[in-house]
Amino acid sequence: MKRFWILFVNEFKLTRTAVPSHIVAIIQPTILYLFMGAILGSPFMKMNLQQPDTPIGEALQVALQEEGSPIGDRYVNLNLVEQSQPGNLRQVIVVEEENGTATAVQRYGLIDANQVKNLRNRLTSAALSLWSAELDDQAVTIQEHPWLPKDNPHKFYFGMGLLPMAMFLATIMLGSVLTSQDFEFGTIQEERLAPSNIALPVMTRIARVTLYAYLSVILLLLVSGFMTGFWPASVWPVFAALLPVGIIGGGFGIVLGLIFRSSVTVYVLSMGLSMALWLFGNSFGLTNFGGLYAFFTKLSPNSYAVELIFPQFFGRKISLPHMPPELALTIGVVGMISAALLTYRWRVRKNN
Amino acid sequence: MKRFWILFITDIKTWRKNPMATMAGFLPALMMLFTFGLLFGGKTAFPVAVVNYDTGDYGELFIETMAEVESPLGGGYYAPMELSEAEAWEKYNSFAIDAVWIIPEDFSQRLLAGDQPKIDEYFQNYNDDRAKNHRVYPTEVLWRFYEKVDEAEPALELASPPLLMREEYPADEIVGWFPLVGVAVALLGAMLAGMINIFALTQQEQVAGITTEIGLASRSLNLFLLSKLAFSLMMALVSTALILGALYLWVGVSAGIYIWAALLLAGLVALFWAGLALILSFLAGQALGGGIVVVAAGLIVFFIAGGMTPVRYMPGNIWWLIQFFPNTYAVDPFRELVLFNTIPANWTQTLVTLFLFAAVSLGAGFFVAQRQLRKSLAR
Repeated sequence: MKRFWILFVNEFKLTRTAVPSHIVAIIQPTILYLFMGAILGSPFMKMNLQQPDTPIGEALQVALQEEGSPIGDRYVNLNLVEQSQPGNLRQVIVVEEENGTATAVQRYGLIDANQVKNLRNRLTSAALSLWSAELDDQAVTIQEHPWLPKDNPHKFYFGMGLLPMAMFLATIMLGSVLTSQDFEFGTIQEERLAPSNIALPVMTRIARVTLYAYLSVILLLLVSGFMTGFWPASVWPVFAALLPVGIIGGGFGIVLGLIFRSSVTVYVLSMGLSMALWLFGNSFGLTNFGGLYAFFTKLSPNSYAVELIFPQFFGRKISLPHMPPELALTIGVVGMISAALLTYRWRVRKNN
Repeated sequence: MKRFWILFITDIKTWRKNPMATMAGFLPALMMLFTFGLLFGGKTAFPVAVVNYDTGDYGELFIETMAEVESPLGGGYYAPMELSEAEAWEKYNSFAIDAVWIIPEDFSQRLLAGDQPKIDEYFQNYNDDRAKNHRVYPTEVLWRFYEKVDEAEPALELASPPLLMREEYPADEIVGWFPLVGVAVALLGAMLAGMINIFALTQQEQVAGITTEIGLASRSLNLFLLSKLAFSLMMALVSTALILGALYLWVGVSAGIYIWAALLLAGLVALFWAGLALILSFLAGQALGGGIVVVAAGLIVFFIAGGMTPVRYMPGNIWWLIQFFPNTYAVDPFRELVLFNTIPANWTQTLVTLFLFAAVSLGAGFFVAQRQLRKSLAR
């Protein structure tokens, strides 16, 4: 145990050899949250309507302005314009008379299918409300029963989904960069000359990078909490759920460092991997659309961590259609520690 | 010129010792392309359960309509599954599906009688953007459902819609979400490769301790830096071409005869980032330190400066920051070249802007790098 502590303390001293890595590992997720939060999709979408000059046009204007959730945001930020062509705008709706029928013509700029979908849906919803008024008792009512009493802003879920990413990014990045530097600076020779139990250097490194990763998690929690007022019921279960993600990330980082032995290479690879596992890891929603995406979701430790921390933020336990998260994360931890130990043995002890 | 080639060949030899550094510029971009492809390029229909207790025919017609109405994203808005109520709740509670629709037994009866027919929709709203979709998608289904009911049962004399709808899009096909993001990822590949190769070469020189010898050279260090820059630019272009090739194989979009213009834009963006990489790799003392900061910043810039949506339609609240990065000015013209095979209307202005960004960044990069190399001798 004493040797573990000596190595553990030494690990912290190594911080001086990679100060920028530590700073980036700690603040990057929070910066991403701040900037992405500013541009994140909000249901309140700007739409342009040519200034109406007919009763039906005015009715459409009112209907668009009334579009929204009864327990959340409005959906249309209506902008009245003079132009009938989109020009520099994303779109414009013009109410025209076509073959004797009033028609809302929505003219788009060169926008993508997702934006077309969002703009189309809002116009249809507003136009349908006018039709429903005409249909009166013949109109079909869709009685809504949302899960929670209030629609939660996307930013809440987004911040929560970033927590496992913060943990994984810091551990894989620091683990891989520090391990690569052992080769670049030649300090690995000391380990080769005076070998210790291979579990010692591997476990002390994982423990150290995991502790740093918690700084990243705490910073993100504080910033997102103060910005949104959205706090977990208790932080300890959140920290506990993120621990295996940290161990997996640390182990993965050590494996990368041992294989590539180039800090620049492993830094970029660990950044790319963290982003990919974040995007696969239920970071934007719990239900996915199936196919290959769903398959990769099951491979991301972030998915299981999100499942475990969700009740702390939303007050409801969930159970996703895959193996229990505790089991999946345990398999990940055991697998990644084993991989790190075996790779260490192969690269350092066998002198490859 | 001869000296330049000697230095360039030396850089290539240095690179051959660690070719993975080049892959490090390309692989993360490829990984992100793959992830975005699966995230945005696959099926986007909401998996929902429909429990149909209706004793008439219109409940079934409603379910058929749910599956039939198409989204601009391709495929339907919904992938309805007719399940028993117990199965539906089990799947809903385990988040295997996004919503449960329950059609009551008197649905058809009330519809035909004009007596306020109703359907219950249970859905997740932990994320307001998804909740919004659960509120607006049904309107697309209902619109079509009324049309079908009117065709099937003209005797009902359903009121006609007071306002019809029509759309005009400026191209034959609506651009998909994934190609839009994928093209931006190609630009990210250029950025990363441009930066990483500068860092990798500099770091190898620093680790090997030959920067002192370079600093001792009596001649200008411009050629030394220029060869490094040329190598990075070459790798940036290779990386862009490879990502564009992958995108072509995946979704069939390509710049065609405008590939030269796309590579020109990517090259200018890469030069800006390579200039920043030069500054930080020498200022930080260790190339890695600078590399980490710039690559992290570059990834954030990718996301906020038009990576996910065209810059021209982005909210203005982030403009104060993104105006300082060339990606903001390059990404939309780059998309026009690759997705629409047209030279952008503001082509000259774009080139001048990107050229100025690259010139300022490289000017500063060369200045700082030379200064730091010479300064190291004084220490």
